Amino acid sequence: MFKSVLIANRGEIAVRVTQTVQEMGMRAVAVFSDPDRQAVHVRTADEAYPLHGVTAAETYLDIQKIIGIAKSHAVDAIHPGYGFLSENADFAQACADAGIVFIGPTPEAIRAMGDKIVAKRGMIAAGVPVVPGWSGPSAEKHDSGESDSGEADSKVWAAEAERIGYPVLVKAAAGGGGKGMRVVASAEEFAGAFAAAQREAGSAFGDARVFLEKYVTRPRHVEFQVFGDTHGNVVHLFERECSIQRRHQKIVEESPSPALTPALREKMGAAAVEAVRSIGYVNAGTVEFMVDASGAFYFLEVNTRLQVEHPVTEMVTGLDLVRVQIMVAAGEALPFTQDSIRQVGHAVECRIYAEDAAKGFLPSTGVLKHYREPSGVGVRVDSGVTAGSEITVHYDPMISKLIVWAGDREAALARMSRALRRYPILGVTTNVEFLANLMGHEAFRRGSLHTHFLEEHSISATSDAPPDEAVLAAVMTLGAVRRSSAGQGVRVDAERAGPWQTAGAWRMTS
Amino acid sequence: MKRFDLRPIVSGTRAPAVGKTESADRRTEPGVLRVSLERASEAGGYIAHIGDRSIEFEGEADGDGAGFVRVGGRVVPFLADRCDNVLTLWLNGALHSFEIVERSARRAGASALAAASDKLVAPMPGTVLKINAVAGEAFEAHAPLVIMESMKMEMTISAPQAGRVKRVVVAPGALVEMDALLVELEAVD
Repeated sequence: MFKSVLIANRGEIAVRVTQTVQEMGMRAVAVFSDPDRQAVHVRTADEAYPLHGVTAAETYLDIQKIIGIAKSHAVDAIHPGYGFLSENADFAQACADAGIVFIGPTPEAIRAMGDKIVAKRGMIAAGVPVVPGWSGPSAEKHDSGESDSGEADSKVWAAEAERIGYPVLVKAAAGGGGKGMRVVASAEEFAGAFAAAQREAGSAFGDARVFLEKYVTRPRHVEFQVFGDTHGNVVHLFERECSIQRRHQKIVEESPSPALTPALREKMGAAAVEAVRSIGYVNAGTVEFMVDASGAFYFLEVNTRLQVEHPVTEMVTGLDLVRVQIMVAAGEALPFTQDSIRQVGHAVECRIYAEDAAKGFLPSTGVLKHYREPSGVGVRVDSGVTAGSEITVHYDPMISKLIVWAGDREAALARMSRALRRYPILGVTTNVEFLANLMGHEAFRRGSLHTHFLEEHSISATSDAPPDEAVLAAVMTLGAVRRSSAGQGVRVDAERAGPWQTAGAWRMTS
Repeated sequence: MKRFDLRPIVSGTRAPAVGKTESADRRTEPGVLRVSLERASEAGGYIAHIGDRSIEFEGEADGDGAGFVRVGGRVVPFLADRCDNVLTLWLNGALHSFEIVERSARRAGASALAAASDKLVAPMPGTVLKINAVAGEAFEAHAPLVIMESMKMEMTISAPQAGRVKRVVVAPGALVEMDALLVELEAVD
């Protein structure tokens, strides 16, 4: 087994991986950008080394810097987390070349699944159902890397979109997370949306290739966690339903899916296992499907990393997925078989984002002046922030993940509702109140979910119930006086420490 | 006795958080709450005056702005944060914001709002990707004048109404803060 693991990431996932690495008796090595000098992931690590820089490109995405640190500090293995370099085949290859174990699949598997066009062709060959679509004039042309952005070419694409039938989805070949994706409702919109998707794909992934897909109306997003080892074993760890999305990005995930019957679960699980077995997949992966109202399912893509929403799988299976990842990377066999894994109870995850749900979920930035996490039976918070942390424009605006587990879905939703109402965050606009309203929404409670749920249902971004007037009066007078007793007109310096930290305990003077 | 004039800040779809925003006090403008707090006992008892109502309660706040109040047997935890003249309260999982009104500054707010429509400002911090606005050129309502990118998402900033570009303030590639001025507009005669 390894003696040390470098975690090439930041925020909550770096903290999460650090915990398991330390539990396994290994040294957890952190890396950090200039703004993250005092971040939680640095404080919790055993060692931490600077990446010298501010933007993601010059820090957490810099392969040479990270490999350099790993080599000079005798690191055995690198865990990439999610995002950043986690699905970068060149990084996995650079690790191997430097004699460091990459905790994840092989560079070949990352490359094959990272290219959505190649992945889809592989799934068709393996007999996994896929959505009707079109991925370009010919495979040869893509392989030679020729550009498909010509105007004449755009007409060929438009014709194919017509053949598939509108609405059609334009997606980035190298994409993920909804970037470089456009829904096209009619032929008139096609040329503009096609160009925009290519531009966005080019700037986000450095690869402007896109492909077309039939747009399935009101689908559910259901994904299966899979695991392969180097001994030829492949299992699935059941599903996660991730239908609640905004801007094509998940914000609520749960397991089990309210839509899956035992028979459908078995069928989809088998398809997921087949999908990754056919490519000799090793380590953790996720096979994403769309499920329509009739229960028909279509392969979407394979994510070759640990997912943001992995905790819901951990809660219902009782497994530590990071531990299993490290064991598999060290060459051990999976510590379980398909028959020995059980899906117990119900888990829900809410992603807490610094964003304004009332303004189209626009990201917000600022310092977390107050930050207090909820706790209690069956409540888990994966976070990488603390009071005084800053949400900047440079990185993802996710603050934390709030995860609950309970015996059944209804109890889990009640637990989530309570936890959300005990999660004060001041300083940046967050989606906490929005999520609390969503948990109480009738259609959500019924489990009637699909990926356009948030577009179809109007969910208030702020609390619907007006507060009790007497209580509010008490609090607002106390709150208003609170500051003035420390000196009115004093500008609050929203730096590292909370604004109240230096003021001392408050005592009213009349 | 400490006295404040508070104006509820309405964000999103929420109506003013307090039912009675019409103050009984004729000297305050509509929508502004005159509140005051007096100490009723040494043991943490207070009386809050809000408009023409008085509410007795007990409560305490720690050095972090976190506290609780007990009003008529009900216990409610809260957090209070004051930054300049904005008071933000977290109460039972919901946020309520108030502007602490300085009397001399009462009138300034309205004119600032009226002037805002001839400026295009950044709705979020990010990078300016593309500028379609050209100084001196006219545009229709909803014309996409600036395209920004933040956290790898594109967003189009469109003209609120037809008009003419007076001045382009930023250049493509510029990193801007939220509310940064992007383009100045003017009405077409």
